[in-house]
Amino acid sequence: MLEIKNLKVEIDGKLITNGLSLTVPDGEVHAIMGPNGAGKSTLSYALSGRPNYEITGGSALLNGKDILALEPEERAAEGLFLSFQYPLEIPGVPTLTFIRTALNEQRKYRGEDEISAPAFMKLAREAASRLKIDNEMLKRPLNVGFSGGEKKRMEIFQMELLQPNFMILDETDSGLDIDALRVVADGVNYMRAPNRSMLVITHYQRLLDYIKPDKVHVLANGKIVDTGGPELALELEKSGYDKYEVAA
Amino acid sequence: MAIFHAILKEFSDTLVGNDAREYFAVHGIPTRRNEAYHFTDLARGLEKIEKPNGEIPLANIDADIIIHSTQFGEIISGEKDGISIIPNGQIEISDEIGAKLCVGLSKSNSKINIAPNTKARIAIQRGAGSRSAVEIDIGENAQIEIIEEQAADGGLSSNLVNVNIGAGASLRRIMIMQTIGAQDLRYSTINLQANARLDLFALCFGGKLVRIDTNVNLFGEGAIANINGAYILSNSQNDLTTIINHHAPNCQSNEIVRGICTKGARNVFQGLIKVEKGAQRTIGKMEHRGIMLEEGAQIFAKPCLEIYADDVECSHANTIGALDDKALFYMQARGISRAKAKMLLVNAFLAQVFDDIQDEKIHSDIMARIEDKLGAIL
Repeated sequence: MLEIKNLKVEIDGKLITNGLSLTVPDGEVHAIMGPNGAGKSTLSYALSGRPNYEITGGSALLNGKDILALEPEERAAEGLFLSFQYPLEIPGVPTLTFIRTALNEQRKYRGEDEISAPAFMKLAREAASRLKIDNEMLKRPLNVGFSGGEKKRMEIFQMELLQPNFMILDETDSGLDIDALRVVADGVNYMRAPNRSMLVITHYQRLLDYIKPDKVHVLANGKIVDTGGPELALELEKSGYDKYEVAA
Repeated sequence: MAIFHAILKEFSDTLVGNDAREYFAVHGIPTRRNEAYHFTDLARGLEKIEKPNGEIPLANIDADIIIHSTQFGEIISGEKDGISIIPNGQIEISDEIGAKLCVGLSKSNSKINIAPNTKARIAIQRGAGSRSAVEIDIGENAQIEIIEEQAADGGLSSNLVNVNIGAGASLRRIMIMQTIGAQDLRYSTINLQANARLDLFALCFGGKLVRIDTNVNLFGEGAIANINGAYILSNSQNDLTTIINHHAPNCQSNEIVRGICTKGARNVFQGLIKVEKGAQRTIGKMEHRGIMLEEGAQIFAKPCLEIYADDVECSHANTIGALDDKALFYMQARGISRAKAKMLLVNAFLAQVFDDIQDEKIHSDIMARIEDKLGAIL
């Protein structure tokens, strides 16, 4: 469960997130939609702890714990996962080595034993086959030379192996064709569980045909300006965001 | 300065290097005025010469011949058919100041002759304060591996290496330069005859004053030279100069140098590929990539091509930058601590230099040294 209260975020002295409040209970999927520049990505980066995103007010609790005081890696180990809009390339570090290192670092933080290589390989093979990722890709350095679609699939693959309890999908649908979108959405839906919740950030209603949200929020000018059920997304598709921008 | 001259005089009984010693007695320590090199001031670097602090233990290496050089002299052990070692054998010295300096400083010199078709591994291990010169003549079609380790903590060490790789022969030279706190000067000239091959791998940790000069001459058609170097500098200085000279047609050279510097560390990379008029169809590639990990790190790079032939394929690439902050954050967002993320990125960056070492044991030894060093400085 994620509870954000009156969150304010500045980048280079400019206020971007302006008193945002939002609660996502366990087991629920919430969508955040909004026009360009509304602060959608800022919210996801601020929650993950990206440097230079200065929190100037408010709070964010993940399962009751204040995550804003933690390092990005500690937030991850507490169960937060951000699927990046633009996943980074990590030259020279093979994909599986990277994910296994990440998983073991998280486990260490939580006081758990390291996962054995065979156990990890078994999980990796299962997830890879579900996400149609071939073995060759797993040996290559993470994301290096991958297509946009492959990178997005790789985000979901990492998510499945790291088993977070709160996921933020930042425009996961951008740059995906219909087939890739379906594979990614299936991967996300596979992760849905009563103790897991997620925030799906998107411009378009299309992704929400595949990942059905419990609630839809509209983000404009750095705060939530409207909340509704899945029907709100359909309405936005028709009417656009104009009325929110004018209202703000 | 006075100490430098005293050191030169110390060895005036060895024949080799007398001309060089005479030269320095007249001209003094080389300065920017009389040497082509402009990046490190030798006179200042050699102002004070301290005694070695002691030996760093050397790795155990399986080799046919082991040359163990210390501040007190040289011990050569091992025997192999086709290899003859001549102590105090005459050595040819180039007119370059760096070569003169190394030979002038040397306490001992030896010549190694390797018969055609010999297959052998030679280990050269040097301790603090060791100063030697060696000339190695590799016969046709021989396959030789030289594993050199300099393990010096303080003191002045020097080393001159001349190698001739005969037609069809190959040399794999691995240099591990643990020269912490040392003044270390070395000069190599490696000549390749037709279809000869050189694979050089160097791992450098720098020191108080470290200069590694490598001159490669591709004299015979079809020769191939691969030079791979990595530097990890923390509170140390390191100068790498390589001159690859294509004299004959249809030769290939490929140089990759990568390294990192922390605050207060300084690396110089000077690379030159020279293609002589007759060296048509040369392929010459050079790449240097440096990462400055902190503010206050310094990396100087001067990649040069000098081409007098018109049918060649030559390139040089050079980048100097910082670790990618976005990549570090991405890794942190997956649960990897910033320190570990840096370690993974730097390790991967440097590891590529040693990808082509097929000997599993040597490869993993080098990787372990890199990891240890990074663990200590990151």
